[in-house]
Amino acid sequence: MSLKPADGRGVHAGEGARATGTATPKQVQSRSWGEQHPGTVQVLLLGVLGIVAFIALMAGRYMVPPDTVIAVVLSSVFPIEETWTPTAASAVVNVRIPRIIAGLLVGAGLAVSGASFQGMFRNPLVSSQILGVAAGAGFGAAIGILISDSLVLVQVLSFVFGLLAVGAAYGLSRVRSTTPILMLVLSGIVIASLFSALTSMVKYVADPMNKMPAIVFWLLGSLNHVSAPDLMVLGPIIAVSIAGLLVVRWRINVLTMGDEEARALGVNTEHLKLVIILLSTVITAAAVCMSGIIGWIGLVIPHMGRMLVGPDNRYLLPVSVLLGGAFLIAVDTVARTAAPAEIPIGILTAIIGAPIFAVLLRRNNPGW
Amino acid sequence: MRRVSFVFCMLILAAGLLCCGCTTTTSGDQGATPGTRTITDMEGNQIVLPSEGATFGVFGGPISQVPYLLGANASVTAVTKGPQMMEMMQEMDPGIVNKPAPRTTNGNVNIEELLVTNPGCVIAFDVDGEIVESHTDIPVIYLSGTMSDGFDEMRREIVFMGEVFQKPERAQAYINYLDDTLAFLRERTADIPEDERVTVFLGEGVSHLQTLGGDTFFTEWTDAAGCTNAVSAIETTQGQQEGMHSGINEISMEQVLAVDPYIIIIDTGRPADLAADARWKELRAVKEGRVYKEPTGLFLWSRPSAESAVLYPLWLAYAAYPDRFDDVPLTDRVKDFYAEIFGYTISDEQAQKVIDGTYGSVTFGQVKQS
Amino acid sequence: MGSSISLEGVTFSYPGGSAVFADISLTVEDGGVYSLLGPNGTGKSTLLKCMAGLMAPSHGRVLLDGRDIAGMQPHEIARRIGFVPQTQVSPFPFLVRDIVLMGRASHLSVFAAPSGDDEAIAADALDRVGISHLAERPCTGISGGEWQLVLIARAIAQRPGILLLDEPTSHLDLGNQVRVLDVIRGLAEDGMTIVVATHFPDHALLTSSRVAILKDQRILAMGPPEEVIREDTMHQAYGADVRIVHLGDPINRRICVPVAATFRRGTP
Repeated sequence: MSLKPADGRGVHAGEGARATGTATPKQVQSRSWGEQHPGTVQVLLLGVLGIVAFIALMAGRYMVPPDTVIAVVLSSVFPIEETWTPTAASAVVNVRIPRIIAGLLVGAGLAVSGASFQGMFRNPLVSSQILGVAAGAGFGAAIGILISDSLVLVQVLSFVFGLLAVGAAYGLSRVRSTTPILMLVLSGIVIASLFSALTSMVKYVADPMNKMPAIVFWLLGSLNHVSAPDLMVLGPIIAVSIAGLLVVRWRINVLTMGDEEARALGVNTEHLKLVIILLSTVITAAAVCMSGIIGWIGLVIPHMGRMLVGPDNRYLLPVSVLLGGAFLIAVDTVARTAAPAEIPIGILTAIIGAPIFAVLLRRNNPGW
Repeated sequence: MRRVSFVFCMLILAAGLLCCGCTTTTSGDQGATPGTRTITDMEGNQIVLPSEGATFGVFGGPISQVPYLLGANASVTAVTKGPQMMEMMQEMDPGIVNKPAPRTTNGNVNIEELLVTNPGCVIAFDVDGEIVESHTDIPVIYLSGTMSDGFDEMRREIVFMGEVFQKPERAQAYINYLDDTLAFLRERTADIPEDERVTVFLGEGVSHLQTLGGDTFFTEWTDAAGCTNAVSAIETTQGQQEGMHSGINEISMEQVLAVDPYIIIIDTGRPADLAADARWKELRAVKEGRVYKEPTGLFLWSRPSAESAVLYPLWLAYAAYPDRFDDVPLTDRVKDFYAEIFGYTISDEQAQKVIDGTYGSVTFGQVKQS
Repeated sequence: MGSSISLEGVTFSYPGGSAVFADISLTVEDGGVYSLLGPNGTGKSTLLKCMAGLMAPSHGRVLLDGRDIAGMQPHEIARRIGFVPQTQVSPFPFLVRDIVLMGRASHLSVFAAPSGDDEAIAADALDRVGISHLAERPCTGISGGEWQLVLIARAIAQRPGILLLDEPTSHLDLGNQVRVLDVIRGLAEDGMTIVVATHFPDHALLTSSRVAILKDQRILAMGPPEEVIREDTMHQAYGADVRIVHLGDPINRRICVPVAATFRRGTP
């Protein structure tokens, strides 16, 4: 006995609402323009990034006229007669350009690793620091500052301990060759607390006038001490890791369905999670050791990205890269030009970002 | 059930009343009895101290050297951790490591340690003083002072401490020494025209960009040496930030490029680091080799202390205008200062260590925490 | 041509617990619809997940096309087995067509993103299930019944030889139940092997060529529906009375209806 309707047509002829029977209970959300044109959004953001970087190049407490700035930059490629002082050239080439590049890499890196973690953990409230990388990096830096004066040693120890902390959290969370998300979160909390406590102990032992303030200050986010040698080493590391995350971005979509479903669909979830954790941690550890702990970006930029282009990581991750980079460059430009003394960048990312986020929240449906 | 909650409420009420009875009162209305004396502190409070045998806790970085200056350090039973850890301080007074150090930094006081030590009273600034007052019965002698204080405030503070420790003549001896030194420096540098005065930039921290601006004591100390604070146009006392002492703030590299100071003083790393750094090496101070490590003695010289008030302008004048000061070596003057004021005879090597900034602080358990 | 799954002496127990089912052996192959019946909690879902390689049995082996599934990579399994779980609608507002597109994951390398061909296969899967009109909808804006169809489409996009469905009609209204069953029959007619865990013996009669009943940790009965679904077996499995009746033309099939003493209301 067939179920087909009497007129012999199959069920799968387009029958509109009748084919599905019940009326859809939830309100159908219309898609935003950005969701329908993600490619255009990415191009626009690239343009925004370019403009922001250009303005950042022009701005600074040391006055360099715009045409000189352009001339200095071009002179590295074309032969142009030098009509500027070495100090002006130094300001542009040695101070501003490294800082802008650092802002781009750190902002993009933190944003894309935050977005990846949010997909992997299926939770919009995580950032890449949830597994303890910042706490570990802070501890490494504290030890480095305590035992030596060498900035290089401080950065190396910071990077190493950042990775170690996450490695410990990962190892702690393994349950019979899987790493359940809940275990990862709990292990991350445990490890972060441990390294935080160890850092406090280092601060206690350190002399309170020199070393201890130096440790605390190092942990505060700032792009003020980024130098070209730093960038030569850490820059490619961050760039390659960002590229790695971008390569697997579609598979992160599958991961958002949950461990079991993703495995049923053929994704090797353990490998993928390990890759995401590794790349995100490398990015965050490198960012911390270059510029201290800059919060807020990994948490909020992905949200803004989602409001622009939706949750599909094929578009969300590149958008996060562009948005994060532009945002941090913009904020850093304000940090170094708005007042005689440097404004701490962590405060600014919150003050500038929070109202923007609030406005976006009011205009779109919150959530994913 | 109602009866139980009633009894419970009565118990809580009783406990509250008992606690009220335990607040400390500043000894405003106690008259002076024989064997005591009354001090009016720098905030106008009156404190009664025994005429003899009073014991003191001294809370504060720069202020901790003053009892030694007055020859009264034996009566100090509780000290501050930072000064206690200074290498030169331990050389001058090896016994300091055995004294309890309840106060680490501003606002961090280990109350139980303080109670165990139980000094007769505590000399402190406002934040620490309030903590001691609200948690213990120990009377507090309040000092007032900030990073903006200059020489006048320094004199007032020394005179006051001389009164507290009953050594006014030693206090006056210091004042005289300070005045003589400042007069000497003025005389030797008076004829330098305004626009030829050496500009000095103090760049602390790993970034070498944390500095003391125009609204701090550093400006006056620098002026006394016939020099100018390169960033005197910037104010740095606005708001205390984590990781930096109050009064210190970080400026941007571009601002240093803009002022292009004649002399740069750093406290972290070596002068050679700046020559190797692309951002710094275009500055004339770096190119011409006038980057100096900040001297350190009994305490950091980037704080307003009795030591830095005399020695810092001296050291700076010698560095900025060596031809005007080539008659007496700086080491001699340094040795003379410690001998005269602190009664501490040091060798040429030790004096050189001070000048070179190689004295540091001692960490890793070599200081006994009692 | 479908794939085949064999269970050899499969036992599953949670660590520290007693066995959910023990020593199950059966083979599923070569087209047709297999229904798995049994009361709540007997482990139908668990058995299905063992067959899909999502859970590892405590004892015994699961063979997929003759190979031990335990040694296979997830993508190898997913090219052969499509698993349709019972889940709530995803909280992420992915478009329906992007959800279905995820079914292509096992055919793509780690570095690849879906191509135009993959999108076409996904569109075709939507079409076979009859929900092409939902393709551009965010999945947060569809009903539970539509979501179940989306999951089936996603599994079909894997182009598997076997489809395992875990109680696909449990939360659906009548219309959607019928729709799903029809899709299942259509797929079976196209040669796919299908295993359905279900609560409804009548659905088994409607669609299946073979039926098994799982109860008390073992297979109570296995075979063609006429033999397995009888009033005594239903009573043994569910503790409920049913009547199996053959309805004549035009329906022309056996139906299974529950009967209970309290339901009898005679005309006065």
